[in-house]
Amino acid sequence: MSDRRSADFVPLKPDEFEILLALAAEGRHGYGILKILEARGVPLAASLLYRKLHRLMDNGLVVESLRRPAAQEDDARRRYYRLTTLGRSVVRAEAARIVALARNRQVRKLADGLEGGRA
Amino acid sequence: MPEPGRERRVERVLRLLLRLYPPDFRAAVGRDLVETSVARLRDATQSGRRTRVLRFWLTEGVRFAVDGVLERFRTLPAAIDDGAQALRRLRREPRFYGLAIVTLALGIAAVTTIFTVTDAVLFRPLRFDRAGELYLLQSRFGPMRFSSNSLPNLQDLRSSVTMLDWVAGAHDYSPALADGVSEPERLASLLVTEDYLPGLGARVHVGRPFAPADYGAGADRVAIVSYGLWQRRWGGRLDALGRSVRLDGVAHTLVGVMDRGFRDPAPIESGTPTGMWVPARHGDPALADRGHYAFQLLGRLAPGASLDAARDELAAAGARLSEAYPDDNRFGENALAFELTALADATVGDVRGRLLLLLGAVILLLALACANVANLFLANGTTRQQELAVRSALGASSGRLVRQLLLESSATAALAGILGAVLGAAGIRAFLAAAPEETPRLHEVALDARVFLVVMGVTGVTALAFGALPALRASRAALRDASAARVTASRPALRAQSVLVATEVALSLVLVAGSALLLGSFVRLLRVEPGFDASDVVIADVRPPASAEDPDRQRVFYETLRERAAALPGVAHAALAYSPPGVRGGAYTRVAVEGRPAADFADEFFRINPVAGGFFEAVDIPVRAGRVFAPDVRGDEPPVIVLNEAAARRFFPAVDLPVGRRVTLSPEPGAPTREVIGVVGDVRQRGPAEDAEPQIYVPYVQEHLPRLSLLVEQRPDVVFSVGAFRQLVREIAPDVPVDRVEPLQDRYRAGAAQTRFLASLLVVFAALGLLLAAVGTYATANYAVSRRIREVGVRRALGAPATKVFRLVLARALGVTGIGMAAGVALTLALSRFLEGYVFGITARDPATVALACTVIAASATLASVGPALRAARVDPNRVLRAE
Repeated sequence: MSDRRSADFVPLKPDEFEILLALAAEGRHGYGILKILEARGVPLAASLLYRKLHRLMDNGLVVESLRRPAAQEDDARRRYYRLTTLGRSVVRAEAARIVALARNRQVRKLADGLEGGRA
Repeated sequence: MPEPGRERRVERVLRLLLRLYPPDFRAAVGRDLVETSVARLRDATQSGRRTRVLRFWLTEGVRFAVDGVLERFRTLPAAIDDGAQALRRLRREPRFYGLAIVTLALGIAAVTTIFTVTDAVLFRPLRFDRAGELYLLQSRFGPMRFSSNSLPNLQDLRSSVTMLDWVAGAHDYSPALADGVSEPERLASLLVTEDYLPGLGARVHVGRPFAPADYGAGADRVAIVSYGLWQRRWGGRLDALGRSVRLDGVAHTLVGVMDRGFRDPAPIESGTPTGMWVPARHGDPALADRGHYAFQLLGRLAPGASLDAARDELAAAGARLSEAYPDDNRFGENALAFELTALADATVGDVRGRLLLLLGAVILLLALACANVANLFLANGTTRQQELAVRSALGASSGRLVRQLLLESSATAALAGILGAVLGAAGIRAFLAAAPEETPRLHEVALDARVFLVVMGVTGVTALAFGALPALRASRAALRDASAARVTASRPALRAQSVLVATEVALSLVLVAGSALLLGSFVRLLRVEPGFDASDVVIADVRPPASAEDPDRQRVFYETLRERAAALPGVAHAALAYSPPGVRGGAYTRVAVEGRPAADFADEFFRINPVAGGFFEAVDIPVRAGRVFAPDVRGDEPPVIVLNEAAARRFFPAVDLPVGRRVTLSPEPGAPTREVIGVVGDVRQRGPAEDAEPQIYVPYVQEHLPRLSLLVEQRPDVVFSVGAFRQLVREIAPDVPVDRVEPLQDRYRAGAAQTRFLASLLVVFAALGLLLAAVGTYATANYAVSRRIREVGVRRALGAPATKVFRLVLARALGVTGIGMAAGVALTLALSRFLEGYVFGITARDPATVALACTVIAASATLASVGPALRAARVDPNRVLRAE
């Protein structure tokens, strides 16, 4: 059942994929996600991030996490987010799609052509 | 160093700035946003950079505020995105949404069609200046009503009645139009008084309106042509103006073309749009006769005048006119009186009842469509209950779920609306094409956006309400049961659906029974024994040429026409009649009967029908006693008459054989008495729906009336050639148009046209209703099977045979249908009185018809439930149990 439903969400929008990816390893708070995205070179406006997060929550891909970090690192005002099973299978499906795409000979040829052109 | 105090201040300001964000966004993520910005500030401070407050506000603060404003604009695209999602969902389940859309669209189309027509014909103000104050002025002498009055009386009223500030009249006549170029044609025309056209707000398209001088005694004869005739006959060319045309042989100059949108009031134009308007000139001898009642009168209430005061004033005027001109304005003992009827009512006439009946029927249909959509959405919502509950449990807000379901149902409603508008526009065109000719105001009917929006609104609200219900229920269920993985709280839903289906069955039963009653009436109308045989008889209306002014010449014209027509190949009989059988209209006379007191027949009028040639043979009216007129009967022989049975009974109730008795066709002393030479069978003169009336046949040569119809009976093996007939008329009188040549059967059956129209529309509505009810039954039965699939599986596993399961499901579905049918029968009987005036030959509560309707409903419900029942019977117990 979850397979069928995760297929409904693929392909993801790029920034949604980035958000899910940022949550793939562990649950994070919003600011944490923002910092990861910035580090990866895909900065996002805070309001945009939260809107996307809530869209993902509405669709059942992300939930607010009850598990929190150790007390000294915690801030009571923070909300933590984590992937649901569905979210995890969606991000996997999307990753698989991208890998499959990257393996596609035609896609590789196009990418090589671009690099060659640049050289 | 972190400074808790500064952080708190920053937080407070940020909270204020949150006001810039849209409220729901603020509620959802406001806390996160503030926390993030504060965290940024803290990070910047911790990394050792010197962070000035000003700098923080210039970067992070401004971004925070701008994002808020942007977010307000973003909600719009988000809604569009949700809409797109809803549309995707529609595409994924085409069967369910297709059914809902088609159901709704059919309902919307039917209701829009009938609402639009009803609104245009019944409720819109007439398209005249101050239309609400216009009245039709009819004349009455005791019990006898006349639609017209004379021009001198009209002029009298105009100068004497103050409560009406406008009195005008029009005299409809049908001259032969000849212009020496195209074929002559019969034209609906109006002789109008000076005030008539300006008072109704008529304007000319090109040329000039009538001037006062055009109405003067001896003025040059002029005419205004209708836009339609101008286009048809003169191709809309401007050189038609100034052209001279002959109306009944008299030259008139065309001075103007009437505005395209102008139509005379329906009671005045009597069915056919006016082709020409001609001024009623003062002093024309025929018009100056005070006893020549030819003008239909219209009046407009003066500002501030009351209707009662106007009636009083008219009563006085009538009495005065009778007093002053007793020869012209009295009828026996009765003085002239006037009746005022609002022009709007006079225009609509008895069409009102029929349209209201149709309106009632489509309101039932609309209720049915709404019930059906509600039912479909309930069924759909319950099957989605699980999905909704899961999403709700995973944190999707109930508002969000409701919004999404609302979007889905409004997308459904919107698509249904588009389809419904297209179908409705087609429905209106079909209605206009099929409506009986005499239906008034049809030219004013056009698809009405307001009507459409109202209908859309009603159905849309239903769709929205029932579309959102499952979401609300799902969120409640999720609150109750956090796991919510398997929500089966659908017993109330099933009950609600059953109630809806029963309602649908009841409503569709009313529609089916009503349409069956009218259809039965129509069939009975066609089967009515008319008393004559119209088969193989062709009727042609031909009037004498304008040159034949005196009766003798007209007789010669008609006799020549009849003899030449009889000689045409394929003609068995050629006859003439003033009132062909089965055709409305005609002449009436008062009588005095030998041996009976005059008081027995005072104020009573009897149909008089001059005929010639083999009339009784041509239409096969049987001779009951005596004989009919000899073919060579002459005008100077002793006058004779033939009575039909109804007249014989009425005149001579105590006599077995009235042959040889005498009747006078006038109550005046000294009028010639006529001998009854025979009695013939009754005919349904006024169409199949009305009983035969007493009728007096006279030889045409002994009682002259100026226009006759030619009846030609064909030999069965040879076809009568209309072309040859027209050629013949052209040879005898080149200026005479041949108006209508058609089978007599068609003319007679036109009398059933209203019933046929009403019946066919109701049949369409009933078919729609039946379809909707069947869809509802199917959806509910199907849903019930889905819900009980485990139970069915267990039963099968425990050894219940498939046939038993099949019967069980069928029985449940038909049980609901049975309850609906019981309610439907009660409703049908309760509503039957609205049909009473429209049924013929059966009562509006005819048990056989109601039983037939029940059978139809039961059959369609059975058909609709067979599919789901089969599905239940085919359930594989192993699979169901394994899935547990």
